[in-house]
Amino acid sequence: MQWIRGTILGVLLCVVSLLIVPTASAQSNDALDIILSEQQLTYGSAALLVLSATGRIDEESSFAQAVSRLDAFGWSIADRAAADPVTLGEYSFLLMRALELPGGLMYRIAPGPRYAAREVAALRIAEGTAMVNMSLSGERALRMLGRAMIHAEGGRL
Amino acid sequence: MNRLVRLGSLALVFLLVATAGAVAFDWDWGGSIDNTTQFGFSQMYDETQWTQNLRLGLWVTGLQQLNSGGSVTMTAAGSYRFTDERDYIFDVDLLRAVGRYPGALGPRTMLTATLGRTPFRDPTGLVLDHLADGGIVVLALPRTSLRLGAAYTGLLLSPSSNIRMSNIDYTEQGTDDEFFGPKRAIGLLEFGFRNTTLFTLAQMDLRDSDDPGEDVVNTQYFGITGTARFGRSTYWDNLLIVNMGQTETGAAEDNLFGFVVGTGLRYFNEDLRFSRASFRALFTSPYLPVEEFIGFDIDTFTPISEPTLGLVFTPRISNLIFAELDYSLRPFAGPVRGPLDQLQVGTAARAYFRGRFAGFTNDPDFVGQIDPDSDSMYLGTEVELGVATRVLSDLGLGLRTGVFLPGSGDLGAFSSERKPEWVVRFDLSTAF
Repeated sequence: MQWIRGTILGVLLCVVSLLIVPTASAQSNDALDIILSEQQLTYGSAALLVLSATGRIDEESSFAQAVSRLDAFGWSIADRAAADPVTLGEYSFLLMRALELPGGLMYRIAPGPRYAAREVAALRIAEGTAMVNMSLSGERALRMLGRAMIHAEGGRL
Repeated sequence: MNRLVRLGSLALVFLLVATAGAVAFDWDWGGSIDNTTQFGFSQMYDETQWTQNLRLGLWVTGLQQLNSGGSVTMTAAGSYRFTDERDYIFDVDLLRAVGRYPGALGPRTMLTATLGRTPFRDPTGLVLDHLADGGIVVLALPRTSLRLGAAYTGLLLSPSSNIRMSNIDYTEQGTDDEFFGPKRAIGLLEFGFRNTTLFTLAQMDLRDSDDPGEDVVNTQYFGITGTARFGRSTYWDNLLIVNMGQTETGAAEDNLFGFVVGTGLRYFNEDLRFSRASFRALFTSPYLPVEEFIGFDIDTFTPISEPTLGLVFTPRISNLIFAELDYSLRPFAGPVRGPLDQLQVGTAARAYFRGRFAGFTNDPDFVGQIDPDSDSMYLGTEVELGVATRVLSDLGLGLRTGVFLPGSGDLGAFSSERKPEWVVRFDLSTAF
């Protein structure tokens, strides 16, 4: 049954990716290819993903422009360059702020990567193990974005 | 001096290796606060029974992804518990390493190895469902799985241990004299193929039967469970467990032979507001003196840990016929999630019968209330209503209320002294 489940998940990933493409039309195919090929999601990719998916940045923007746009929103991570990797917690925090997800009790008291990671795990936005300091691939980040958008629109995961 | 230097060097090397190993892990920590407050009402009580259980838990976990695609996870979890019975208990709830190795024994295989303090459970949860210290290896193949485990229960704190089988186990449970729970060694072997599982458990009592006042109970279990699916989401479960054993009290020895059979139906429909309905029935063997017919007597079923059956009335699972109907739904769950989406309401009805009217003397919790002249098998009925919701992802609330209506007088096994009992229970859980 595991391989059937894996196949279904693969198909689901493709469908979700297709679903978010119209919304995330800011990403050029090149940018998406780069993000999908990343073994460790970079700060620039994370910024471009969440900002373009929520319509906060122009579709032709570069990774560096996405990072500077994060600064404008006050969501930037200190001393982090566009090519530096981000953790699952940091990406979850960006995701939650960009999609304006309210979060749990502790997230409301102390918003940050720790409780953002817990939230995405509890909501099943992040499938599998989700720990604040673990790295994540570009593919996983894209899948999380798709599921987060479904959740933000009231859908069920 | 040289010895000290060598020992110091060795400790330093060990520390460096351990630190290097720890750095390779992604670490996280957190905690939880759980509270259960319960009120009990009955004409039998002099005053309202009020119990409080507050638990503060802390955990730390480390994960290392392996190049092979597998992972190693180390988890330690401890808790501080305050109850009415004891001011505090510090306990270790989990202390384990789990290795997951996909493809270790060929494609489409998964090998999972767990070592340390971890839950041990048989496929039904009727024989054993408890923490213990030991190891479990699970090999999952397409359509087939194999599980092998061994555990020791003597390092569990006595107030936390529900491993109670012999008379001395129950005597120790009622005192504060014992720091650790009963010392027992447990072995588990389980083979699953498609929807059928065969399993065996063996439990060895590590007490010395020669010590005065000690009685020793060794048991073995052989079980089969099967599940058949009907339609999209209806499941029919069946189980049979045979329990054999040997008891020793001083020089006296005896053999045990008991069993439990059960059946049940489960139904789930997401489209009907996440409706869940289930029915289950269990028959656990009573003592039956049938030696002249089959060569041996049948004894009461003896599990390693007692499962919880009801909210108000939870007899031991021996000499018991038990039937349960359960239904729950999320009434506000529509096509789109709303603020009350997670609110779940449920109801349950449970009926209890003794398997044989004579000899129902093995449950000291209420044996004094049994009418010795009654030949009725009916013990009573429990009805429960409950509501639970996850207000936020890290905040859950629950309220359950139930009433146990004993079968007394002409209708049941209890004497008229046994009156109905009500329970109201409030649960709160939060995580940080």
